[in-house]
Amino acid sequence: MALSALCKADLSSLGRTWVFRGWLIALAVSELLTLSGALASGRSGAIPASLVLSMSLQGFLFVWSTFVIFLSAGSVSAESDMVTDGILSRACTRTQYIGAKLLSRMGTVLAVYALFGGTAALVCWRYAANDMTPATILTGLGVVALALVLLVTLGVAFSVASNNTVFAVIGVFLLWYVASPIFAFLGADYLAPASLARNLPLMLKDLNAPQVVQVTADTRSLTVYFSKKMDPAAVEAPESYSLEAPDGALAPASAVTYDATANSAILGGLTLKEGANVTVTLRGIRDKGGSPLSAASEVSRVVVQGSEPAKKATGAKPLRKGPAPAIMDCTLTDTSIRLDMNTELDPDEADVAANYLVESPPGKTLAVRQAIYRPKTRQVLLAGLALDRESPVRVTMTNVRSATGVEMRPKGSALTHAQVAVWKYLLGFGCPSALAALLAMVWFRRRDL
Amino acid sequence: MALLQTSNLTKIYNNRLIAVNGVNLAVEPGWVFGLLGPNGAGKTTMLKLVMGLQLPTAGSVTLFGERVTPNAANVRQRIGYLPTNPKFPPTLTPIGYLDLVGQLFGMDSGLRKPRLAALLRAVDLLGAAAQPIKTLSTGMTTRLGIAAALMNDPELLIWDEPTAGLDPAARKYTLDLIRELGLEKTIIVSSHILSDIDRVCDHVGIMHDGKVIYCGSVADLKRTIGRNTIEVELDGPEAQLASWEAEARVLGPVRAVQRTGAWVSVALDPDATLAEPLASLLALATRHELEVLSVTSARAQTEDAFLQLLEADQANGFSRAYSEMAPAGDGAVGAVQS
Repeated sequence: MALSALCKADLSSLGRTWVFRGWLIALAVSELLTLSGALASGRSGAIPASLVLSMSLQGFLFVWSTFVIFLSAGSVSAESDMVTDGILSRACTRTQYIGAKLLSRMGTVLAVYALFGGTAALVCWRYAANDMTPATILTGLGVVALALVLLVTLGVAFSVASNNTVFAVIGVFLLWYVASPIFAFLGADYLAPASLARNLPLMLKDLNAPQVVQVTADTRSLTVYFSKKMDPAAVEAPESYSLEAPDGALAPASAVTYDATANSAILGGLTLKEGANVTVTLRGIRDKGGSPLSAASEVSRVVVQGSEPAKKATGAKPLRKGPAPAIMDCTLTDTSIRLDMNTELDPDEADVAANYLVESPPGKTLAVRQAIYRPKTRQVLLAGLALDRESPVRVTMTNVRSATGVEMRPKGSALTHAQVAVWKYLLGFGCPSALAALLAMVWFRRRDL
Repeated sequence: MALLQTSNLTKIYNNRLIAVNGVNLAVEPGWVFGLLGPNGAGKTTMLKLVMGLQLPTAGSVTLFGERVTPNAANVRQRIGYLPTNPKFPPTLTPIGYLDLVGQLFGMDSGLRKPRLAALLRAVDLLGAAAQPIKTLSTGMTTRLGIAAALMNDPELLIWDEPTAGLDPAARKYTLDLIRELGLEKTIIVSSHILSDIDRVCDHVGIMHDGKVIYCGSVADLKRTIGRNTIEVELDGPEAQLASWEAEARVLGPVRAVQRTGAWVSVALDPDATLAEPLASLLALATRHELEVLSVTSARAQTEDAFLQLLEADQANGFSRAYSEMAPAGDGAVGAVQS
């Protein structure tokens, strides 16, 4: 009864603080602006739902964490002048008092997070170009919730350690925002807020769903490239595709051929105008395992090229200016790797699968079936892979020049990517939280009041 | 068996300040025990150690036969504690706070609500029951503290300087309350105001520099002084006062008369009763047509005893160390170190 009474009293006083009220107001306004802005572009398919939701959740890690720190780091220290007289001289234990603080502050933060994060997830799921599943949404929401739990317990522990609220707040601020070196030192840099924020879109995205990786079109045909092996029955049905030009709907393809080697569907018998913007909408398409096409891939746009693809101008002297090509970042799905490059590449060389070596785990080579280069985004998509997300992946790129003709370094450019399993977040945030809570209780028991 | 027992209780703050110095104390059930001492003597620290709000550097506290620790909620369940200049959750109202206190004591709503209403009425806080505690005056906050201390109908009351910061009316009300509560409960009350302790307590412990230098009944304390004094305040012409003084000196049990202005201090034989010489002195005043403004005896006696004990403690100097290091029993109940 003492624990619940203390919890109720703390919740009641928390509800009266301006920090909490201000947080709710700022959070409501910000979420409204972020979601409406992101959804406007999300509906057009430009921003997938996973990215919109991760933007919303990142707010809890960087912006709203300030309020969380104030609420938790002031929980005990702000009451230090009256806790003895008013509370602890009655029939309650110190453990109950700290337990109540932890429960009420954690409950409040998580309730607010669940309300706003949950609403954001629901809105993204319903209205944005959805590329998430309920499981990935729960994973993303859960990992951020664990990070907030750690933040609250750290706040309460600092509040117990210091009688001065300002010192406690500064201490947690420093620990949270300058956390990367500490986590890196402990070999858990994925726990740093910045690192977690980077991983969130990937965590939210449904990596099992097949995706459209590229669409090309000439005046007579249109080719859709998928990220993995597809079910030929669904892919080869012409009614699975609808084409639309700015001046109206186009006649459907007379035949669709599935190329299992390139994971592509070729829509033939079309009459398209060169230079026209064509919108392709795919419906009812599944991969071989039965997973439906990612919602974010249902609508694609393509500009119709001439019958003969434009050849690269020959004889033009390379400029040989700019940086040597290098891989900046990579994103993994079960079947593909997306490489973010530092500069624009020579498309002829970037599209050659033999120029890429994929090892997972490092030392074990995986066959790269297809390499697709997107000049606009400076990204290379390596498709047709079978990746184990628990194992680290090393990608090495060689013999690819930049668009200006600058050659790569002799050994090429390599990047190793280790995707973090959810259980690592559970342990990484859970264990320090439990430790901080325990320390707070022991500390408080040993303290003179 | 003693209700409160401390054994070699010591509190040293940060290796810098010795606040409580090896105190052995026992308080029996039914006592109204006054913890008396000058400011900084260690009274508040002592009471916080007894409540388990501070951790002893050495020694132990036993209350109701149980060892007191910071988590000893079951012991505090039976205590009503009033801290000196109490501070309570500033945003709560008196009703909200007493309700919380009731819940902490495990009282169900049916018992809690009527009791808090009755207590708020008793301490005259009904008018301020809905306003935040931070807006209450010192006196009102102390009265709220009294209500909180009585919320659980405790067996033992521990009140630390309950009259501090109160106006005369509130002070009188508080002392009367202690006297009334003392009829049915054990009370430990600390104060540096001698007259307060003298008015309400039957037993007293005198603290000085963290040590209990006397512990016993108030009557015994008065006896230790070995003096029997009456102080009379008279009003009248100087000549009549002088002749009253001269005649008073030759009264039977009177050993000495000392006059300072209108105040006359009459020292009696140690074994003389007060009634007879007092009646003679008053009759003498009537005969000399002097108006008697006030007569005091006990207060002065207690004060003298208190000061004498403090002086003796200081005068003993280094020799105190030997008595303090003596085996168990020294400085315990009833012992007077001189």
